[in-house]
Amino acid sequence: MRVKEPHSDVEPSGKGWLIYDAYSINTEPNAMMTHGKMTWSSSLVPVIEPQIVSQIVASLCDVALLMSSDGRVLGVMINPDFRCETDITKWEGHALTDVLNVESTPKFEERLGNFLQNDDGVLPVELNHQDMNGAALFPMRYSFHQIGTDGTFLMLGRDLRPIWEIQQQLVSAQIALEKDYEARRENDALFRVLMASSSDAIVFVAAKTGQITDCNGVAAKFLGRSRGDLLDNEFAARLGLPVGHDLINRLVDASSEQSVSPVGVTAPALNADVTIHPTLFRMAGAQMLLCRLQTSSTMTSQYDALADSLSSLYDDGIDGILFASRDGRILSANEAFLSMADVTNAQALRGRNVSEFLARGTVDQNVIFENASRAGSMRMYATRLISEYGSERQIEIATSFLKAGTEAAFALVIRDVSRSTTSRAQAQQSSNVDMSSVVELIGSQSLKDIVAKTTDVVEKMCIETAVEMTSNNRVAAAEMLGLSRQSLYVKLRKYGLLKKDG
Amino acid sequence: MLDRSGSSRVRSQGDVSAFALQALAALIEDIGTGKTEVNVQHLRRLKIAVHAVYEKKLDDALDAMRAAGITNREIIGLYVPAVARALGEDWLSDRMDFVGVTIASSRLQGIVRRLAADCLTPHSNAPRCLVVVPYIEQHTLGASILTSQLREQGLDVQLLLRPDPDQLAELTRSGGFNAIMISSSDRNNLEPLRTMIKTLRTNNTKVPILVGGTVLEHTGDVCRLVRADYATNNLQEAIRICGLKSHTPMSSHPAKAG
Repeated sequence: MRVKEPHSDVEPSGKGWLIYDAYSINTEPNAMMTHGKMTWSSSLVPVIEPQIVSQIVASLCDVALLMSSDGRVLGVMINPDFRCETDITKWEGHALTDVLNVESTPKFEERLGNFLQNDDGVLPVELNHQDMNGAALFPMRYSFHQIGTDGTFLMLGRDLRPIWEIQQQLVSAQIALEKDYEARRENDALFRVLMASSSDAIVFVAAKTGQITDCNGVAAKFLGRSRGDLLDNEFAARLGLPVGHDLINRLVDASSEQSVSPVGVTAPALNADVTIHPTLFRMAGAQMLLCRLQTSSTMTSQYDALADSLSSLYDDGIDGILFASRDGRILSANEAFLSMADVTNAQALRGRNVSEFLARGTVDQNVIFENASRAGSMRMYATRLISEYGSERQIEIATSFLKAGTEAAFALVIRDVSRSTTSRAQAQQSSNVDMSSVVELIGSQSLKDIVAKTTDVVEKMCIETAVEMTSNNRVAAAEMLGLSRQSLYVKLRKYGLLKKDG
Repeated sequence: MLDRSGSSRVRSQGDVSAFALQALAALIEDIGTGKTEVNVQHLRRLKIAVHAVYEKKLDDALDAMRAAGITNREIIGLYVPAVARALGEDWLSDRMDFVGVTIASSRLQGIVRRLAADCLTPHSNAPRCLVVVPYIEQHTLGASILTSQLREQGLDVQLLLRPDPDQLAELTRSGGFNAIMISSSDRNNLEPLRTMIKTLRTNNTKVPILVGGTVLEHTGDVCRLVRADYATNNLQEAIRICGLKSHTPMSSHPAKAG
């Protein structure tokens, strides 16, 4: 099939259209498409009235603009179904940018430039219209079509308002979601404050599984375990009751009665009689129990005084305490560490490495462990703790190498120093701001010299700090600074830092 | 560490050291001690994932970022804004239509929501800050990021999205804010912003009112035109201007966080 490319000259005449030349004749009759391009066959050469052409063009789209190459609107054709309260035929004679908003203007200008340089392959453009006074009108999607050799071209526009309305609904839904989230956040805060401040031991238990879903600090203390060690574990088991004990059924029955009566059990794990006040409620389709715990008799401690104090320090101490094996595996961690690291469940730490929570990862871990195993301890190692949710805080770690158990282990006491760092940083900053010394400096040396010397000092300070932090472990210091060992050596020599340690 | 050891060296090495330390302090204050550059591969993967039909792609992209040592703070403060900017560019060049951009932005906002440290509760004496998105605005992502970053600094932040005038008047009547920050992106029409600031002023005469967002790209002096006190898009500068001091947030246990 041999087909000639279509060729037509269209020129505006008032609001109508004149066709000077029909489409070229095709050798094969009735061929309509070739390579995706429209053409006319010989028997279908259109001889169309200008007014009809206008109607056809308008019906192909919502708005058709006949444009000049300088971006002016020469003619506007409107689909009869297009709803618009503004008379957009008044755009004729104006630059299109007069009726575009500020974001759409450069977008249109750029696309127009591309189109005029190369009319093929220009993507349709989404533009937001506004009226001459700047009031928003409607969004349109225009495609560009070359129609003549005199520089005029057609922009066929699709009204995007129906899609825009859906988008507005999406935006509204999104905002409603955000508002809900903010409200939920407030409720969460209320719940957490209430739980933390309550003097009652409170445990939430899922009636179906018997597992603890939440508890407060008092309850954790009452049950003698960390909060993380209680969550997702069976309530009955944590009281030391045998498997298959009907505690949950008794609690459900007791709370279903007209007058809720407390349930008394002897808890072997606590070596005490416990009174449980249950409240049954439904949440997300499941039955939940709110249990208030009270002890009926004095608990007998299984520890001597020192063990009791140590255990209390571990449970209630303000500093994070973490035990790790020689390969960095976390063996146990106290509540303060879980809280610092935002870990909800002690079980979530199982099999994980200390390095996962340290800002410099294995670099930090190696420095701490190497020093502690060599010297027995390493005090005041400064780094940052990365919480489970990615937030960071400044910490100092004091590490001891323990050989007490069957296997050697490291004990890390982790202190949150972000509050003191803030005050230190502020004090430092205020003492540093001494503009007069800067003024003197500027007079005495060229900017280039000042910058070069400042860079050297900064470099030296950072290297010194890294060497100090790693107790002169150059491999670790180089890794920390992102330098090769060779580069670090060169810089150590440059700054005269080699002599110190030979 | 630098603070502690730096002071003794300053005395021994003279003015240059003092100057260098000052330069470092300024550098730390401006850019923070975290990373400021994004990893292009992770950025590309995140951008593809926010368009994906299935949310798993997004989860996988975030998991990969976490595994590469990128913190949630960096994802929220660096990667999400970078993807948002890329989406804007895609719309400008019509590689993406505005519905696609809206959906992708909504996913980005979901990321901020999921990763923001909502387990942090401000101290009772933490400064209070109001972040507002004006009624006519379409974009709330910037305000969500700002809120999360301010909360991370330990501030007590209330986020108010597109409040109607009554809501706004009622909230601000109760007062007690140390600063009010407005996030706006409408560069075409400043009038609603000016009206809102007027309402805010009625009840908060002494509270600094800041304006930020792409509205600052307006051709005129936005700060003066809308009668705000300050205009900035820099978080640290905003905190400094408002005289807000960061606090370490109290950590408490979230009921559930994803």
